[in-house]
Amino acid sequence: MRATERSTANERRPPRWAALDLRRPAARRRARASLTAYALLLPAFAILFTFQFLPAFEVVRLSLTDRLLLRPDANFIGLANFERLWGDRRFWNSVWNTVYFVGVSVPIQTALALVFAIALARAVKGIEVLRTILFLPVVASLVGVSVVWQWMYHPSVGLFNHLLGLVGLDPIRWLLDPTWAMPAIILLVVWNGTGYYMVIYLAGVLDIPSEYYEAARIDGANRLHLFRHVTWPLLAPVTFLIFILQMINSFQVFTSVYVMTGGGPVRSTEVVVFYLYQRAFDSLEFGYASAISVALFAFLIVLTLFQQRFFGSRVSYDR
Amino acid sequence: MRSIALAVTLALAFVATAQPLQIEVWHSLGENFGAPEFEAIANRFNEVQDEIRVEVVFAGGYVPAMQRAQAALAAGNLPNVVMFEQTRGAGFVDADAILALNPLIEADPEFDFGDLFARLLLTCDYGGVLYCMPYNNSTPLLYYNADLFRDAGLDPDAPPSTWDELHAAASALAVRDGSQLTRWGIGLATSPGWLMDAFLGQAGGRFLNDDGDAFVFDGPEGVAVAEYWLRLLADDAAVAGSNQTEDFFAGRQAMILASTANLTNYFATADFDLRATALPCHVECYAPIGGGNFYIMDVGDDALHAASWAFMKWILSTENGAEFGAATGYMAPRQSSLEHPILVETFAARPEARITYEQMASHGYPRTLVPFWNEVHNAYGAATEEILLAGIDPAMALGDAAEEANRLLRVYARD
Repeated sequence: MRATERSTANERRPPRWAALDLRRPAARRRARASLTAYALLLPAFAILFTFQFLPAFEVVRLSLTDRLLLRPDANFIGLANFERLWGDRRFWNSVWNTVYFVGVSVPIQTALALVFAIALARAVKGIEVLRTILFLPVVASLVGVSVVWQWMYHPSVGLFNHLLGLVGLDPIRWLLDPTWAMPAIILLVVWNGTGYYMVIYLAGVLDIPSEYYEAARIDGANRLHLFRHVTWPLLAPVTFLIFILQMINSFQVFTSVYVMTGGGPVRSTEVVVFYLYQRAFDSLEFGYASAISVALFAFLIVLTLFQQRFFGSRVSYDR
Repeated sequence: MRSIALAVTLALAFVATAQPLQIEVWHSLGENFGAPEFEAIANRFNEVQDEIRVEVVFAGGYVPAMQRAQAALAAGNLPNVVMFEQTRGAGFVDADAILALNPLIEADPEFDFGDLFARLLLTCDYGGVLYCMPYNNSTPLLYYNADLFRDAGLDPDAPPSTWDELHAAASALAVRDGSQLTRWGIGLATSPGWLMDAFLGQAGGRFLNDDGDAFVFDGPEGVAVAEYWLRLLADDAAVAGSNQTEDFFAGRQAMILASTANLTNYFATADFDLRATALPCHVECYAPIGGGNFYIMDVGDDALHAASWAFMKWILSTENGAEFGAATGYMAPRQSSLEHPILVETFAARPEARITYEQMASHGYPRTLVPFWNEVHNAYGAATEEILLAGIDPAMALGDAAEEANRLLRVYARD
């Protein structure tokens, strides 16, 4: 039916606006259909608009003011907040801490997720149990987990130092040591988050048709070859997705820092979002906190576009 | 009790309506810090009169409750009465969200204002105006493990009462096994909170200068505190950490500075000869007053304010104050509560419960009341970490913190 429509259209191509001509029955039907579609979208859009977009615009507006949280009066101060941000040592320290966190945790999580996914992508009895066990930390609330891990990191009664003692190593002061606090948080986040990305990878691995592996094996490929030339390239879209998801999530790391270290010791775990939080809810400088938020948003947009251009173009979606 | 109920009824006769007035009260008391007792006292208020219905809500700990109130203020749905931690009410006073209590007190001749501890009332005094009523107030005590004292050859009946004695005792309690310190005298909090008030005050310093227009905790007194702490660390007398309670109850740490609000719990937990004593003194004696106070929010009409005030008076009564104080270790706000049988019995059974009243009455001081205190707290916390954990020069670390505090002082003085 669509073909006949198209053939008649070819004979006498109607102008574009004709689709909106409600005198034509077909157009009226189409208009009604799209109206229904918009009506169905409206509730979701209204919620998103009210609770996501509107606050986001409001943050941009606030970033240009000297608003203090508990004082309704505020002055427009132009880009003064961004100027201050540029020269704020604590902000740049928090940027460095965040880059450190992302730079270490993202590759580790990605690699571990891939290793586990490949290891678990086989039809062995009881494999579901293993998969579930590896996924379990994802389900746990990060706040609760952070509290428990805080105990495990305790210098004198904690589990980790007990384990170190068993192998004859000196105890580490973990969350009280500026050198070890960030690795301690990374360890927790890797434990907590890897399972999620593992499941995405697992879906990707199981999605690769077995013919490719058979063909490669007939050509004499060993296991390493199979991974290098079949699994890895065919997983590229999944890796890209995981990479972007992790980047966006990791740059916003907050919960474990909030619960376990409060940014310390000696500001060694003060990441950007935690610094933003302190400005918003401790010194109550809402305008300035909004400016930090806008800067982070701009950075993440640029980062994602950059990834899409220089990494995304090398991803093949064809098989 | 019946006479109080009658008085409440009379005081509210002018708002007499068929429907009881509803007021919402937020508190931050944990399960082991008086929540059940406070809720019981509040519920009794609903039983003894018909004009007011109080709904008690646990609003979370001190910080979550403050944030919840910030959100409620922004959304315009504040409750009627809120408990704020000592340093966290100032932001709401600054935001004009709180009712000044002076007019209510002046218009209420039967309210025995003079019976309240004057030094506790200072914690509610913002520039000469009273904005709250002291409720779950506390001071820090020096708790110590008398078994370890005996083991180290110290007299458990003569605990340290000065900085020098504390240093000597803590050094004597230290036990080192090779590279590991297996026992130490006292813990130094890397996030000292009110203990910074205590040490700074004992050294003769203050957070703010007398005019209240500059933070001066980076002065010679602040540096003296840092240097004292560093000496304790250098002599193995102390360990810098955050979770000291476990070490104290495991017998690794001999002394701990902790709130009198822990009194009941600590004595129930300890399986050793636990003792408590007043804070040590140095240049002067100084005990910061911590805990929380109740504020009437400036919402609703006069009738709701009067109802909130009636509830405040109920929880502040001699008997109810004594009951709450005895159950927790917090200080009853009224002097007459100390003569009430409930507290008399408590003091007889647990003399340590009296210590906080003694040091409060002679040298208890309010915390610093500025709207941005949380950030000042962060700043000197970070400085303490720099000093104790990273070996940064105390004058420099404290100087940076004071600079941040003074910057905020200027930000908030903009109008």
